[in-house]
Amino acid sequence: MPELLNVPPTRSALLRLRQELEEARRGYELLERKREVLVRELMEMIDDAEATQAEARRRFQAAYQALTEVRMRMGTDRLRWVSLAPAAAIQTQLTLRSVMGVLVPLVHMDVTPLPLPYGLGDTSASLDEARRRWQDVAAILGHLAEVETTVWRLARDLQKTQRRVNALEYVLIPQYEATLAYISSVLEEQEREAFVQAKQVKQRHAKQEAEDEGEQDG
Amino acid sequence: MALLLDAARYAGVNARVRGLVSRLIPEWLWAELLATPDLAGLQSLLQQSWYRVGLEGRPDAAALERRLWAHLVTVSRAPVHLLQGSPRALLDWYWRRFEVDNLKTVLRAVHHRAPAETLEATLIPLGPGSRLPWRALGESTSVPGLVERLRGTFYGSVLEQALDTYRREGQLFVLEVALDLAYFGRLLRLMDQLTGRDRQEARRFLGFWVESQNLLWAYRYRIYAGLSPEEILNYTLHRGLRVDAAAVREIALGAPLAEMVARFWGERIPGLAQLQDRPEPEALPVLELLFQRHLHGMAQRALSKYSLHLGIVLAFQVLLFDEVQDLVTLIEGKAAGWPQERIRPYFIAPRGLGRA
Repeated sequence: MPELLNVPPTRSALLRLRQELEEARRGYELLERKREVLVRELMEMIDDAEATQAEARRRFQAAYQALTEVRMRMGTDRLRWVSLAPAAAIQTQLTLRSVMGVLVPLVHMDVTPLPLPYGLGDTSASLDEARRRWQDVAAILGHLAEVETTVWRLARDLQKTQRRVNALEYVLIPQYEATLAYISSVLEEQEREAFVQAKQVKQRHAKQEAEDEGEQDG
Repeated sequence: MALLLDAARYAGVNARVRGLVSRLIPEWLWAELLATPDLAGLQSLLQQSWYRVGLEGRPDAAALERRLWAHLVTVSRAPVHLLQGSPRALLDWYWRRFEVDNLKTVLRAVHHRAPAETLEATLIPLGPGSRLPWRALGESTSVPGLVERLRGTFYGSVLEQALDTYRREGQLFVLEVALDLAYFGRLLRLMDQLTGRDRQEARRFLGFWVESQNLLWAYRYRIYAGLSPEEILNYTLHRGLRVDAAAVREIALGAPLAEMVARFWGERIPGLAQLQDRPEPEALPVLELLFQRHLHGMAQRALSKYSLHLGIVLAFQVLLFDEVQDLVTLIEGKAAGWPQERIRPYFIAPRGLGRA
């Protein structure tokens, strides 16, 4: 039995609660629809996120392997000096789109490889390979950031929405319904009592009138 | 008569070089170096080798490597003084590749405005073999200022010619390429001044080295840098026994890597089959290693004979460089926590196959 709301069992309270229940039901329907859209969007994103994460992991592994290989070929110092020059120019554009009120990012990352900054006489082909591998990593980072943030935000909002749906479905709406039922029953009871009282008063009144008329006749 | 003269000239050199060869790290020590779990163990084991001087203090990969490079530079300079005339001029210039490497490091530091003290700590000490004012060069505040300080030297005039392009593009690439092309061009000219067996041996070792570099450059420019055929032709050497201007043009226009390597060297370079199934970008580092292994094999074969010519000196230079290169590979592999089975494939020579 849900806990009743702390309101006086009056007709005005009944009318107000009925209106609020109606709004709660509409809110529930809206939230339920939002939840469905978020779930659908999340399911669609999760496949993409998993595939992107796996691809990013693969690219990072290859890039770190290439980095170790180039260190093995050129040594730490030479690699450090050559690495002072950037390998690519990266431009990032961030816009936001709304999924049922949840703002998720759209990341557009342009990775433009820069011209070779070093001569080839004292560098190894493994340096070029490592450079290429890290450019591959940079190329996927924008999309990875986009899908991971989107999934995270959608999941967080879905959780919040689900909590609200549950609160409405299992707590608030039953509370309103129970309170309304209680107030209705109290009001009905009051009406019945008033009716009985009125009837008694009426009977008493009629009886009084009849007695008064008898006395006058007599 | 010429043979007798060669024998007289190289008898002392031969003895000295063989003495140096005997000091290269023995197989048993390689086995121990490979088996040691960390850098500290590696540094301690290297105390048993001719790299022991200066190997004190807390083990650090970069510092260890600096010590190895310094040793390489000192030891590879020693045979220069044993030679005379054109062979001496050639060996001296071959040694100056370390000077070119240092100069590139200074260029990079000055271009990126790195602190002079950081630079000084990482330059390979070249000793009396180099007369360049390294401290003053490192204190230059701009690349044109650095080139100005090199005025009157071979490098100064080479860099001056590329300075306008550097000013226009703001990229070190053009200066570094100018240094590379000038260095290798002079090396080839000095090889031409040799005669007889010396010339033959220089072509065998240094000729192969230059040609393999040139081929790798052409492919690296095409595959990794995406340069146009005209640019590739501009930034490579045009003369060689095999990899000449026509070959570079073919490469620049898209000739496949495996096909060109097979055409130039056929079966002579073992392991070329490894290139077949790899995409070209991944095949290039493999090919670079195969070229080094081939050169290493040639050097070992040369030293297995009683040779009285320049070949023995060049063979030693190759073996010494490969030893240091493999030690650097080992240090970096250990620093990355790789087990020895994973490090071995990156060695130029098969190491540590003897008893530990």
